[in-house]
Amino acid sequence: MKNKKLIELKNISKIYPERDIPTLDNLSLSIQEGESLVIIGSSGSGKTTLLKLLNGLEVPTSGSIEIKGKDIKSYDILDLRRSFFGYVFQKIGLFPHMTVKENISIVLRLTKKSPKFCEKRVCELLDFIRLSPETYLDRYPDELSGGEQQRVGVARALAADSECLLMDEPFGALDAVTRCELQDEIIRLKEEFKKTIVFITHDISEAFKLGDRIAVMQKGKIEQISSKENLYESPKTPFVEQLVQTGLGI
Amino acid sequence: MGRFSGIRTLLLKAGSVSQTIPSLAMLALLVPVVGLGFIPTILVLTFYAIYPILRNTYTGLQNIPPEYLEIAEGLGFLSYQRLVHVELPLAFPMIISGLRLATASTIGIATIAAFIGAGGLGDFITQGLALNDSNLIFLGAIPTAFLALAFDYGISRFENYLCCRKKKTTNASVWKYKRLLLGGMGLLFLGSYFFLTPQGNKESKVIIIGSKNFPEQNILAEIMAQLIEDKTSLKVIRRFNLGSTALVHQALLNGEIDLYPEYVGTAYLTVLKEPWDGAQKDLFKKVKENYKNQFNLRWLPSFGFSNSQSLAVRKDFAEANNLKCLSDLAPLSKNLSVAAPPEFLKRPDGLINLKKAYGFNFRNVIQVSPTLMYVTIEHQKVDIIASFTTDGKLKSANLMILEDDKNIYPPYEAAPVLREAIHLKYPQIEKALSPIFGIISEQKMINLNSKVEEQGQLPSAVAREFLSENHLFSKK
Repeated sequence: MKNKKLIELKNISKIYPERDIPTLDNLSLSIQEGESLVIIGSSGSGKTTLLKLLNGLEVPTSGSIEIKGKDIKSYDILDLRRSFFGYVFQKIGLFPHMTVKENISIVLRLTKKSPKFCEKRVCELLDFIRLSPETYLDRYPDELSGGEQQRVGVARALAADSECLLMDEPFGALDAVTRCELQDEIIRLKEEFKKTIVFITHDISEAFKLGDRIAVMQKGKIEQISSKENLYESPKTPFVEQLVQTGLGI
Repeated sequence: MGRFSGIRTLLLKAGSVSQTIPSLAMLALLVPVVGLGFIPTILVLTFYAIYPILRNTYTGLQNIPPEYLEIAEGLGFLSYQRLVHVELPLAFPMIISGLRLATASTIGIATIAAFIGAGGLGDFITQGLALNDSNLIFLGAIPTAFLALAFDYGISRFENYLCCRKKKTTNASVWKYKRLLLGGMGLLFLGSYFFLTPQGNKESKVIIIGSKNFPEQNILAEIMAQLIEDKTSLKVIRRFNLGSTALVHQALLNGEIDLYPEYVGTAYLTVLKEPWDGAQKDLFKKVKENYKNQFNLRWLPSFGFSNSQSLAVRKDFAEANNLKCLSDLAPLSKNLSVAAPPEFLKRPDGLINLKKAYGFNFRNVIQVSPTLMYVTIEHQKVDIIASFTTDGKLKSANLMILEDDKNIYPPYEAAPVLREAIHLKYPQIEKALSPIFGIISEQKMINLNSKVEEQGQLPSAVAREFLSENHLFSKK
């Protein structure tokens, strides 16, 4: 691993006035280029907020975010969203009024790519996620299974050839078999395209399967961030220990 | 949408308040400003159509699940891109349903426009209402309903075409059949609509005759129209059933009609707004002069009758008690009962004034609707009713008007009112009409009204019969 920092968060806090405790509490984190970082935590631990800070959907109350060594504010946020990050959303991810083709190519169309280019790219991506273009191009989301929908969601995140994929519990609503298949797809994707992946989950076995490094979050703080072996062998807090043991079925 | 919440609330509030203004009132308010016919109708229809569309568009945009907006945000949509690619398509069904609502109500309201001379299917409805002829009402209402259905169907097809999924419909053949049927119907009614709409053009030698919306006005206007058609080369356009006095008068001032029958007393009280104390002499002359000076309008000589208000009794009752005028009634009044419509009881120039002037002290006063009034007196439930002096029902109910011998009411002589400019341009109009000046007595007018009101004949047929009976058509 090259060990080059892609994204760095320094002393980030996020406070919503309507809540008494901070959602993110003086949190620091760096994400290496080409790694897959899985953030795990129970609901309300602040993991989705963390992800939204990265592509500017939320703004930190204090602290700074650097991307490739430059402050996030010096970038055009729309550019970042369209072509630096690819976002895969929780549950509802596709626009119901657009076909598979239209959904996947939407970001390309926003940036005024030619229809021919869009079509070609959509077909490549469908091939990659193993959905045959002839069958799926003109289908609407409600004509797809849950697994197929999330595959299309992943394809959309890849469309603009972004460097970093942000995935917010993308497989949370799927059955175990489909989930397992899709996790394999993510591993394949990582190996084939060398993308940096930030993946959110509340499932420890998913975290173990996908993560080069795992960050355990609770109450707006990172309890521990390390490789899965390290996490298993030397948990820093009782919460981490309990989590790991649950994941291993002990 | 979120940025202009103040303006938005104001617009929606104003819109919903405006929907409570009756469309007829709105039409009447617009007439002095923009005139009669097409333009005010379009304005009012547009006005009423905007709100449902606005409201539904707003609701549609409001109800988009926030997840989709967040996804759009996360993928880097600009706000206009979000509107075009996400918000409008998702709100589309709501927007279309607003459009359908607006279309249906617009077609409905359009029939009301007949009151201000915009013509169309509403003409049948207003005439039907004025003549109490349900067949005429149906003739207007049924095609209107089908028109609304046809348009609604058209929009739903349009919606399917635009929005959607090229899914195969399983019952395609059924739809094909229905489409043909409905399409055919729509075309038929559209055709009839344009065919039946009086298409006025002002280009050459035209005179437009108007009337208020009750049978006597229709008959008089028809008599004038047929005489002018017979005796001159002018083309006559009929714009009947224009509603209230104020509306018809305004239409005349605007040049939207050239000629209509009016009553001297109405002109004096309602148009000139002069007070009446019962003593003025030569009222007709005074009205004539004022109309000339104030409005540049010309009164032609009277048709020969006066349509005033008074009290009526059964003929046998009048003979038995030797009644001729209202003064004869006073000594008997404490044993008699009266039926009258609500406005006659409330208006100062109604019963209140009569009681004061003649010293009536009736045993009983009953408030009934105008149509029921005649039934109650025929069945001897009451002795006296309030009535217009040329009411057609007087004949069939065998009633007699008692003369207003103290002149409580101004004389309501009926006569044509004509725009001076038209009179100068076409002096032949007065000449053409001159044979009917002074020849229609009260009794004759009652007979003519009765033919329309009681026997259901058309005003045009009654007018034709009257003119030919009196040998007023030129022999060809």
